[in-house]
Parts: sequence; structure tokens; C-alpha cells
Amino acid sequence: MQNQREIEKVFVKQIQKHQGILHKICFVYSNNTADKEDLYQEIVLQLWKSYSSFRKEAKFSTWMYRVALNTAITLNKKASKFKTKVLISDDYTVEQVDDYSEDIKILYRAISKLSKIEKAIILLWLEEKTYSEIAEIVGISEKNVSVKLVRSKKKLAKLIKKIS
Amino acid sequence: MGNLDLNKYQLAWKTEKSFQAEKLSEIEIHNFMKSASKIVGQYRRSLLFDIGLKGILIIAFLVLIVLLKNQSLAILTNSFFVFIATIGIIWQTKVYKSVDNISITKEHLKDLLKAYIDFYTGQYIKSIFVSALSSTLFFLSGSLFYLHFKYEQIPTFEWDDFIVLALGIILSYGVSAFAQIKQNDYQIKQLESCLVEIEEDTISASSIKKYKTNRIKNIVKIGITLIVGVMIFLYLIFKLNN
Repeated sequence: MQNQREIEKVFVKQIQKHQGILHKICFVYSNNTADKEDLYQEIVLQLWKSYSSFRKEAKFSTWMYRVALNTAITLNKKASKFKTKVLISDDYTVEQVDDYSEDIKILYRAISKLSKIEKAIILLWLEEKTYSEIAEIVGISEKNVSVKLVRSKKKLAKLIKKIS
Repeated sequence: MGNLDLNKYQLAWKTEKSFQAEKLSEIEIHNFMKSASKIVGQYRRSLLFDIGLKGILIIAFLVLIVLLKNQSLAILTNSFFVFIATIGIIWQTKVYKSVDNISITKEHLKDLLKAYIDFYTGQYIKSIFVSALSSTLFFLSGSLFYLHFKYEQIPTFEWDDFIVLALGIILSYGVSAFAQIKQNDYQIKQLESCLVEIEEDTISASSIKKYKTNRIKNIVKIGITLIVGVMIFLYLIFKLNN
């Protein structure tokens, strides 16, 4: 039996190892640095709260994707009504993507115009997840995933074209 | 053409070094693990605040019972308010505990959205009506204290007093409930729009219709109960008073 301290240690190590997933989800779902901090905090908290329910036979990264996406989509910020309006005209805050390559900057601006669900589908596609994995995470059929993915990719391509 | 462009971006995504950088330190992760949740934190705080307020109101009504010990009607009325506030506290404590039943991790995204909408359209909307009672009880306790300090007793009410009292009850309750319902609606709409988007090709958003119907049903049911309750309450006071 692991004691609490050991469990915490293992959890922190896992998070550090897979923190790329966190960065990507927070990157896609936040409009500015403050939002990003909040989202990091909420996702890590939800992961920790549910760590006991994580079945070791599943891949940690898949489980992490599910929890992190669930958190990002259900976290409704109070001021998001206002922020959405700002986003439409302003696209993104520069400090968020300062360190990234030009292609990623364009991608970020385009993704910021997608809905929360489209963002999830595109994010999982960018991560090269299979249809069945996407279906499993979102909770829809594989057929539905393929329809939504085609539609979301078309929309993304249009947006990228417009931006670049 | 769209696909070709996107493949280039997919590759850029996979090779972007910034995503792989270790930005979170061990200490930061530890701090996040011990923080309070923003999803339910705000809701929990408002529930706790309301439970506390109802607790204070119970004390206020108990003080009124002592102050007005010579007026049996006043004792009866204040005891009734204590009873209402106690029921409210019990109900809200139950709701407070049930927030934890929504597990963000065990569910698929679709099921999780449904669980949240179920919660916000069911138990939460009911808790709004219970929470709005605090404003009414606050108004009533304030009025009773005012009457006691002005007349050293609760005077016999005339028709116009009843109208003022009824208006005060309805306004204090209505304003409080309306403000909270509006805020809750915004929250539900955000979740519903995600669910509609997921379900559009599968069950033609029929579950959304079900949620909306349930929400309206709940509002109408509770609204009728409250109006009837206020009318019976005023009628009984009037009857006992005359």
C-alpha cells in the first residue's frame, strides 16, 4: 500500500512527464495568460481529485486528455460573454503565442474562432488520435466523429486561409 | 486543398518545442493540487453564504419570539419563519453535498454535460427558490423589528398593511429569484450549446427540449406553490388578527 505522500509524488511525476498535454489544452482553450493560469490550476486539481479513480490498465495520457478536456469545456468563466466578443474582433492576445512558431500562431488564431466542441475534435486530430479514441473521449459514435472532423477541418482550413 | 494546408499545420503542431517545455514546476503542481475548484467553488460559496444568512435569520426570529413573548400570534408567526429557514438550511446542505456527485472524470464529455445540465435544471433551480427565501425572511424580520421598536408590539394589521406586506414579500422574493435564475440560465445555455453540438447528428437535440421543458415545469410548479403559500399565509394572519 502506498502512503499519501508517495501517491502525491507519483502523481506529480506523471503530470510533469505529460505536461505537454496540459500546455496544449490550455493553449487551445484560453484567451490570455490569466485564463491559462486558471485552467492549469483547475485541470491539475480535477486530475488530482480523480486520481484514485484512474485505472492503471488505461494509458495515463488518454485519461489525462479526457479529464482535461472535460474540465476545459465545462469551466464557464463569468466574464466569458464579454471575452467572446473581444475574441471575435481581436482574435487572440499576443503574449499567449509569443514563443511559438509562425504556423502555430496562425493555427492558434484560427482555433480561437472555433466552438468548444470543434476545438476538442481538432485538438484530438492534431494529436493524431484515432476515430475510436476521439469517440471514446467525447462520447459519440465513430461515424459521428468522422462527420464532425470533416466539418471542423473544413472550417479550420477556411479560417487559416483567411488569416494567412 | 484544405487538407494539404492542414497537414502542414498538424506537423507544426507535433514538432512545436514550446509544448514540450517543462513550464510547471513541482511546487506549482503541488499548489494547484491544493487549490479550490473554480467550477463548483463559486456555487459552493454562495450556498454556504446563504446557509449562514439563514442561520442568522433564525437567531433574529428567536430574538423576536423572546421580545414579543406576550403576543401569541407573533410567536406563532416567528416560529413558522424559523421552521421555513430551518427547512431551507436542510435542503441547501443536501444540495451542497450533492455537487460532489458530479464526477468530471468518470463520464464521457457528453454524459458529463448531461449531468451538469440535469443538475442546473433540476436540483439547482429548486435551490434558487429556496435561496431566494432568505431575502423574504430578511425583509420580514426587518419589518417585525421595526414594528416592535416603534410600537413595542406588533400592531393589528389593516388592509393596506397587508398590501404593503404582500408587496414586500413578492418583491423581495421575486428580485432575488429573478437575478439568480438569469445567472443560472447563462450557465445552462453554455452547457446546452455544447451538448446540442455533440448531439445534432444523433438524437436531434431532443434531450435539450426535455431539459427546457423540465426547467419551465419546475419554475411553474414552484411559482404556483409559492403564490398559494403566500396567499394562505396572509389569509391565516388576517384571520387570526381579526
